[in-house]
Amino acid sequence: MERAALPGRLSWQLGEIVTLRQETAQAKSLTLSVPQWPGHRAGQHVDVRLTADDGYQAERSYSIASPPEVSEVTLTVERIADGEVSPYLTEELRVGDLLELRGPIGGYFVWEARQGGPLLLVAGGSGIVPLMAMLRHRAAAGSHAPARLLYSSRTFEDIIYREELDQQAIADPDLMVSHTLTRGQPPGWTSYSRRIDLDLLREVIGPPDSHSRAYICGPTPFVEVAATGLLSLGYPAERINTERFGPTGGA
Amino acid sequence: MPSTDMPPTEMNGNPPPRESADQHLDGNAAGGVLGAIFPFEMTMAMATCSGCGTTNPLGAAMAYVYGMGTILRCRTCDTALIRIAHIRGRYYLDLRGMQLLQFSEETPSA
Repeated sequence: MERAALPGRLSWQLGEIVTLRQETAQAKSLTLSVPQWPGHRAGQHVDVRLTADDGYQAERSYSIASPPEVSEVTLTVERIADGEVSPYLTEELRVGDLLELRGPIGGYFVWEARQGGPLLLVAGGSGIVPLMAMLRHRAAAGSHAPARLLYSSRTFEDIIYREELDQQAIADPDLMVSHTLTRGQPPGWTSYSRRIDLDLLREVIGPPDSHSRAYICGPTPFVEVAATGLLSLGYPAERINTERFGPTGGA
Repeated sequence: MPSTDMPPTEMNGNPPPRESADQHLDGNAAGGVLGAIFPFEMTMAMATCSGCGTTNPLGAAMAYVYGMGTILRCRTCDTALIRIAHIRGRYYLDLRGMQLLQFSEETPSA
C-alpha cells in the first residue's frame, strides 16, 4: 500500500457548482468543482455548511454520488419539506454558485474494487447515493465482483438513477438490481411491492459466502430492519456496514 | 463540560427528530468533526472502551450529533467514548470513555 502524506485536518473548502441535474421530483444532483479536492473513496461523504446573513450556520452531511475516478464531486440531495438545508440546495443553488464543504469523510463505509465481492447493497430511498458511488466505481474500475442491489423506493418515479441502474444491470451479468416499491406501483409492475423484510432479503441478497460484504444505507428504521435481517441470514456483524440517515420515514 | 442538550441532527438534510428515543447515527457521522481536530483517518481509529473493555473502530460506534457537539457511544455497553463540543472557536473533548485510542499515521491512498 502506498504511503500517503498526512492528510492534515479537514477544513472547509469552497466548491463551485458546475452542473445541476434533477434526478426525480425530490432529488437533485449537484456537481461541484473543488480546487483542493484530494480525491475520495466510494461510500464517503462530505459535510456541507450554509451560513445565513445573520451568521446562523447549519451543517448537514451528504454522501458523494460520484466515483473516485471522476475529479468533480457530485452530491445527490433529496429535498426534505421542512428541512433547513435541502430546500436551499435543491431549489436555490445555481451553476456558478459556491458551496462550503468539508471532506471526504468516513473510511468506515467504503468499498474499493480491489476488495472484490460479493458486494451486497441495500438502499432505502436516498440511501442509494453512496451505494451508487460504489457501483459507478465498480463499473469504472472494470470490476467483475458479483454485486447485488436491493433498492427500496416509495414509487417508480422516486427511483433515483433508475435508467443508469437499468443500463448497468443490462450490460453487466455480474450485477443484479432489484427494486421494491412501498407506496404505489405502476401498471404492469412485476417486481417487489412491499417494505423490506427477511424474506425479501433472503430472496434478493441471499446467504453470505466467506468474502461477502454488505452495505446498507437509508433511514434509520430501514437500516435496522435490513441489518437485523442480514444477521439472521448469517452475515457476520463485521461484514455488515451501515450508514443511517436518521429517523425520517423514507421509502 | 458545556451541556449539549440540543436535539440531534442527521444526515442528508433530514430535520431533527421530535422524540429523543435512541436515534443514533453511525460513527462515520462524527468523521467530519474528528477529522477537523485530528489529522488522521479517525473513523478507522480503534478505541478501547473504559466501560466494557471492548476495542472497536470509532466508525462502528453510535454517533449522536447535536447542534453544538457530538457524542460517540460504545455499541456494546453505551458508554460515551468521546464527547466533543465546539463552541465559539473552542473544542472541548471528554475522552474518559476510552482507555486507549490508536490509529495509523498512514492514510490508505484514494
